[in-house]
Amino acid sequence: MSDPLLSAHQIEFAYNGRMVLRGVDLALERGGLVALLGPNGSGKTTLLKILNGILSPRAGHVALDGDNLAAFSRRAIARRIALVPQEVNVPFAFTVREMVLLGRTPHIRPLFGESARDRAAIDRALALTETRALAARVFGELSGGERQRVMVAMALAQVLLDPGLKPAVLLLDEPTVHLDINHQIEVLELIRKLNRERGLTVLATMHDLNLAALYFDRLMLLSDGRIITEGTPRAVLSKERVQGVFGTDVLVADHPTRAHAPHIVLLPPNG
Amino acid sequence: MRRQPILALTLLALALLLALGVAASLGTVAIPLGDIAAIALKRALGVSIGAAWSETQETIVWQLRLPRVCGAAIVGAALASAGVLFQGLLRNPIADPYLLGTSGGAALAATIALLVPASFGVFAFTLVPIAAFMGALGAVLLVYQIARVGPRTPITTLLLAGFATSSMMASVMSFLMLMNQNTLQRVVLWTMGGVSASGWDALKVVTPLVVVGALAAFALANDLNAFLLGEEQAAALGVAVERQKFLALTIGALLTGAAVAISGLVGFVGLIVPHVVRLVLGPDHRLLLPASFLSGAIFLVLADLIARLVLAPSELPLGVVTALVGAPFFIYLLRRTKREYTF
Repeated sequence: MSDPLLSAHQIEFAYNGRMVLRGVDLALERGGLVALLGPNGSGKTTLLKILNGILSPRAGHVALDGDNLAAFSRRAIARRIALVPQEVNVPFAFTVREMVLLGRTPHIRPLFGESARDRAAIDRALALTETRALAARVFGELSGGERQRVMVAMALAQVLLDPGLKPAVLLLDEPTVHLDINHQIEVLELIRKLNRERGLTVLATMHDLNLAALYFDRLMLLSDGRIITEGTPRAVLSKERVQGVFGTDVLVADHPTRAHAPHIVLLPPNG
Repeated sequence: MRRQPILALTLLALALLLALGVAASLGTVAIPLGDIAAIALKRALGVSIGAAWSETQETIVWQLRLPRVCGAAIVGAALASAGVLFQGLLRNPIADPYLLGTSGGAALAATIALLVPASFGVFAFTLVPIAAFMGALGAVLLVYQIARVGPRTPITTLLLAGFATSSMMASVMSFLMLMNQNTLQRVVLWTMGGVSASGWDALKVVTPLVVVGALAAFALANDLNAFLLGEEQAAALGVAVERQKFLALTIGALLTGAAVAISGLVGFVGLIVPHVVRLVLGPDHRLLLPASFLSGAIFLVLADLIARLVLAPSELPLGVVTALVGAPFFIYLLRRTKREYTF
């Protein structure tokens, strides 16, 4: 049995003495399309940052292809794992192309400009995310949905597009937050397409349970600093579990047209 | 222009040469541009192309004007490069080379040096510039140490530590000046900056320092671009954040210290030149750094020329001119740019 692509082992993490993660175990298999769910403050974002080594856990370790992540250089990690942050605010007027070029940072040597390979990677990333028409636009002037696609393009230029590549991981922190519904769908369609067609392994934190159920193959539920359950959307999103973790009454129905997906209906106390 | 970095840099280099020539030819005695070039060639490389000028003119050009305009160029280049480094690293539009205590450290050390009665010198320098250089470098390293929180040095603590350290050093300096009224004017003049005292010997020491610093800064260009997305995202893109931050700070302090050693505190160059270049050529550090290096040199050569000419034969402090000339130009550019200049 081969090692999972990315795995976490008994991860513990505390912010200012407050324990956020208390022994997280997870395994991300090659080609997985997984959403990480959990209430606000449950440590989803923290876990993502630990998974790509930006934060160091207080205890436990992360492994990439079975090797301890702590043994990799930042550059080596960045060639395999990309993180699309929840919000990025760019202080200067970078164009879309310049932003996507930043994704090549772990491949470009100091004092050397971008190579033909870098330019090819950028072009392919722009094409895959359908952002080519935006290439000369200023990033800060784009709509939320366009920005998110550009951030995905940056991540693709970073990890996906090198020939002879080792399998890459795309981590996304709330990729649909602050987006209109059409853009939410657009971004999730893109992520699923990349997973299906390019074999990209994806782990995304999500706060919208229904979107997560619609678009992801597997869900992980983070609560009280642990992954309490993992499986298909149908298996994870039971009425009892959702009520227990989020503390609000719900009804779990079926999605009217997508048979695989449960659909969670909120039951407000005075509705 | 944004798509043609080579062209932009070539034009800037030519503009710098022209500015150097013009600045060296103008003054109480006007000397033709051609003679400037010929004298420079003769004295620097030993190439003689006929001498149609007097001995006095040659002395004026070689001993007084050229070291002065070259000094202005080196100081401008160093301060503008340091400004780019600090603004990019701190993601802070009002960051300038003096932000992290450099000016406070340099000024305090220079004040102390000015109070030392003995006039002994080391290498090509007297005590004041050496003290200023050490003060600038020492202050930034001190600020960096103060700002450290465990293994990290967050930008916010860095800015606050810089501010606190600067204020403290400024008050110590004020106290020293009050206690020693007779040196007060020299200190004040020094803090306004100027390149009138620069000579070839000092330039021989400082120029390599600045060139090495600028090259080292250029080697960080990709990382600085990544830093603009914030430190965590820079780390996600493969930048060894803490190491590169320390390097950038040290290089910035070195460049600033080198400039301060020649010129005292010349304000505004390190703040304004990077902004102007960014407005015209875009924020990519691979172009921004060399373009700011050249633009800073041009700007300060011209500013020093104005400082010399306006009230000739007496001079304005250089720092007064840089602010007076630079600020309106900056405001014009800000207003002219159709695109919102966001931070």
